[in-house]
Amino acid sequence: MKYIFELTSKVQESESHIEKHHKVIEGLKLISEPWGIDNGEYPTPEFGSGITATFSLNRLLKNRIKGDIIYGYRKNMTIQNEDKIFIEFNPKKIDYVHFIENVFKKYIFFFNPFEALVYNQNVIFYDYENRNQSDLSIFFRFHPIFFWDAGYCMRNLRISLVDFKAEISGFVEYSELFQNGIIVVVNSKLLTLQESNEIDLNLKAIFSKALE
Amino acid sequence: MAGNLMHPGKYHIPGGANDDGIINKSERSSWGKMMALNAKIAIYSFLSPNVAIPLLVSEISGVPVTPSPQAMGGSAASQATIQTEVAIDEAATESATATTGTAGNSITKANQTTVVQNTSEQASAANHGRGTALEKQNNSAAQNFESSVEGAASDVATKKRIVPTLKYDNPNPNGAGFVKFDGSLGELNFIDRKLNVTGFPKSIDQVRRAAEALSQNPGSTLPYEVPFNKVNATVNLIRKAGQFLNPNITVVGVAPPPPPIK
Repeated sequence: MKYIFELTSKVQESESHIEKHHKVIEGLKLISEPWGIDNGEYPTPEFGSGITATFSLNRLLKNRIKGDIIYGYRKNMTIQNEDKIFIEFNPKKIDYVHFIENVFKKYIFFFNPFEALVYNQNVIFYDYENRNQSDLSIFFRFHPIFFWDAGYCMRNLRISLVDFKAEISGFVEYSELFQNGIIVVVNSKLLTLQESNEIDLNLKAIFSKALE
Repeated sequence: MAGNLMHPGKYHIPGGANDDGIINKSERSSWGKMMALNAKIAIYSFLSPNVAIPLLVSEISGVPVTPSPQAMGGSAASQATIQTEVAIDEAATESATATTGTAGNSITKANQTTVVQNTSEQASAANHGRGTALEKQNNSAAQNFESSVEGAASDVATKKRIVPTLKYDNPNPNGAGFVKFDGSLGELNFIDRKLNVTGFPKSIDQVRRAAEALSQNPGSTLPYEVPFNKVNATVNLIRKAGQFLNPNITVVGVAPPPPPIK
């Protein structure tokens, strides 16, 4: 079983990737194994001739957790420009509850994403196979564990974080307003693709009017 | 009827302007100028991929151009397009050259590319639209897979692959102003093939550069053609590169290449 932990933030031209990387590294140093890194010096990735600068976490995180921190080029981009942390892990090899209760929030704190997700990797493949049936410009999914910032919540459902929190209460295990966004734990168990899909469908049913 | 339309009853000898059956120096010069004019016409034929002028191509360039044997099953239109582009590149008297890695493959010495761009074409089309590049062939399994794509062609004289490129304003001034693909179906519908898919930084950057180039060239599309068992890895890669919801980038499973005959 493979899970993905994915955080996405919009590139701010005013913040160089060097500054952001410094924040990320300092944040990771405050997290214990297997999700954090040791104290020490770490290089800053360079763009070279490309438009992404990638810092690999493969040999820094433990318990076979693999991932990359990907910084987008800061200027003159026409595509939606994002920084991303993309981590692949086996949820059976780690303390999943500890990850949800402690680590998830800390990553959001130092990376300042508009969206952070934890999900079964098979969800990606399922969504890809079915993406032709969706309007990709407004596509989103409710994952078992997620963080949305206020702007992303408004973009998806056209409601405020406070209203969103009120609407989902009773349908999720936990939710918390945090750092201009909301952390939602719909289900803290390890889920199959089918169970993940049920979460998406059930929550979308609550907002069916907004999604029409 | 013997002869030709312009001179009924006489056989036309190419290059012999006065029909004396002898091609002198002056006539050779005139013929050259005429063919240069034809090259300009060929530029406009870029806009019409269905125009097939393979004979013209070989006469302009003096270099026979052959489609890859694997690609012979492709449409005549796409072959003609490729051949036309080669003709223009070869005919260009003023050319700019650049060396780069491929859009879809690891950059290696064996994989370096020479891009030949007609300077007048560049000036008129800004840094957008389609171009071509020559790529060294190394006969590896990966490259054989890439060479078998629709619209692939090779240059007999240089023994290099002719691959389509998409020009764009690279946000990074240190980078090349184009991305390179393995084949195409039509003017802006490119194809990139990957036999092996990784999530390495280079691959992530290639996907995002391709997305940027597609974004600057409205109407362009890019399916990644990969063996069926690599579809999920490629989907994972485009997710990682932040292009999962990019409608212009798709992943298509194709049959893997047959094993080499020993």
